[in-house]
Amino acid sequence: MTATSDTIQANPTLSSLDREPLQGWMMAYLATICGEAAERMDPGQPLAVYDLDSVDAVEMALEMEKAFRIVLDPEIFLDTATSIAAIATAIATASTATHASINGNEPVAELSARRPPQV
Amino acid sequence: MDDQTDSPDDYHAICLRNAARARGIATRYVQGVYSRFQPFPSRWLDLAVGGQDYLFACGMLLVKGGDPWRGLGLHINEDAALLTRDKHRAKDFLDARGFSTPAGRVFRRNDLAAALDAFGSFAGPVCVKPNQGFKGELVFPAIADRSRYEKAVRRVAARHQKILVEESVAGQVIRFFFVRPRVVAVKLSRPASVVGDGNASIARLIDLKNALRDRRAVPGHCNIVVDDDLRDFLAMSGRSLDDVPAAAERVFLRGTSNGATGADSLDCRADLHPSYVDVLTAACNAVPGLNLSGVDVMIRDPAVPARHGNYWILELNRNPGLPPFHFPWRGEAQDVSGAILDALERGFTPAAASSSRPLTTTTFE
Repeated sequence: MTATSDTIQANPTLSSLDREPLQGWMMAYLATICGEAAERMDPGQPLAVYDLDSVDAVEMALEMEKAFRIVLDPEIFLDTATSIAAIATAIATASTATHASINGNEPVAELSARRPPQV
Repeated sequence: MDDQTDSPDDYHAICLRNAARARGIATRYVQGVYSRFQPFPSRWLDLAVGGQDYLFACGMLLVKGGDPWRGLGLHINEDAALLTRDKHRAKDFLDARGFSTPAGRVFRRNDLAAALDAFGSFAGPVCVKPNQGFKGELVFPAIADRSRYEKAVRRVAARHQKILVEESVAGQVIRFFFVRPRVVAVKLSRPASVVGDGNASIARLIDLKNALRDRRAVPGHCNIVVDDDLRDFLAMSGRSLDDVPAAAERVFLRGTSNGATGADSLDCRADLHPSYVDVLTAACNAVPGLNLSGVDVMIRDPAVPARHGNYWILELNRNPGLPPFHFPWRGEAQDVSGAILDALERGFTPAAASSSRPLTTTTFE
């Protein structure tokens, strides 16, 4: 399963998020922890190239939650087959779709990648 | 297997279920997956305590349906996730608060050269292990020569993203079982070992001990596996499987203290100075969001009062095992399952939502 708009759930209080800042933030974050120059990194590459462990993934999700006031499944960055570009698109798409359907402008967003079937 | 049948694959759940039964708490087993990256465990003990539903399997306790991403549940230590998953970060955190931890450095495997070069920066023997390992997997303690060091680093790097290199500390590994806000049990985790009789070789003594293991079938106590790591550990002390230890001589076979690697769990309450319980209680309570943990501590001499530098906190386990406390190799059982249920019955109240992270947080009491 990859991070697509189908797997990201938006809260009705969601405000719209632009794709570019989301992608830029993720690339800068990965550049810092990997010791690479952000401009030399390709957002279309699969996450596998960054060799993240679950601590990296959880921490990145927590930091992104704080930066954009959203809620993310901490496993979203563990999916090594997906890319930063795809994650940014999925979050932006989900937020735009929800924002367009409501009138409010509440600042707190919630985006949760759906987990496996419940008990 | 129906929803009331225990599985021998999960003695942790059996321990908690027995304690629940003794309190009249209804339980059943259900199927579920906690994480798409972690398919096991897939069978959970489902119980309601103190007005809240919980799921439990293999030492992992979840608040059922309590997670914001609509999965199985919220891990009981979710707010301490980074510290319980990251050995090096946990030690830094505790060290900054005055608790004693082994000095160490962590390396990413994509910078393997830095890890290999680090050997000379340590004054004495080092321990190499995964920063996120568990059950004693790929832990190489007491390495004093560069060739063994490089081999250990490469083996860890082949399986894990981060390699932890730390000063190798000596003593006895004591596990403190913490249920916020108290340490409720302690045990000595003695690495796999045999005791000589003056006649039998180490290989023969291992066979005899494994036969005893099979007869007693004490949960949480695995047989001693003879492999290259065991031979290498013996070689570091100049011994081999053919050696004949003297009568009453104890020969250690590994440097790790996990049941999965053949260690013995021993009741050590009578031998442990009470100051260690005070220190570990303070350390655990200093970790935000840590509600349930098995904390491994190397103690130079458990009979001597705790002071900075004669004990070292090694790691905070997020899914602590229950069977070694209920079924020690030697000594009295300690009812850690009952302590967990007592805490849950007292109340498991959501704390005020954080302004920066709008998740439900949970603490005992």
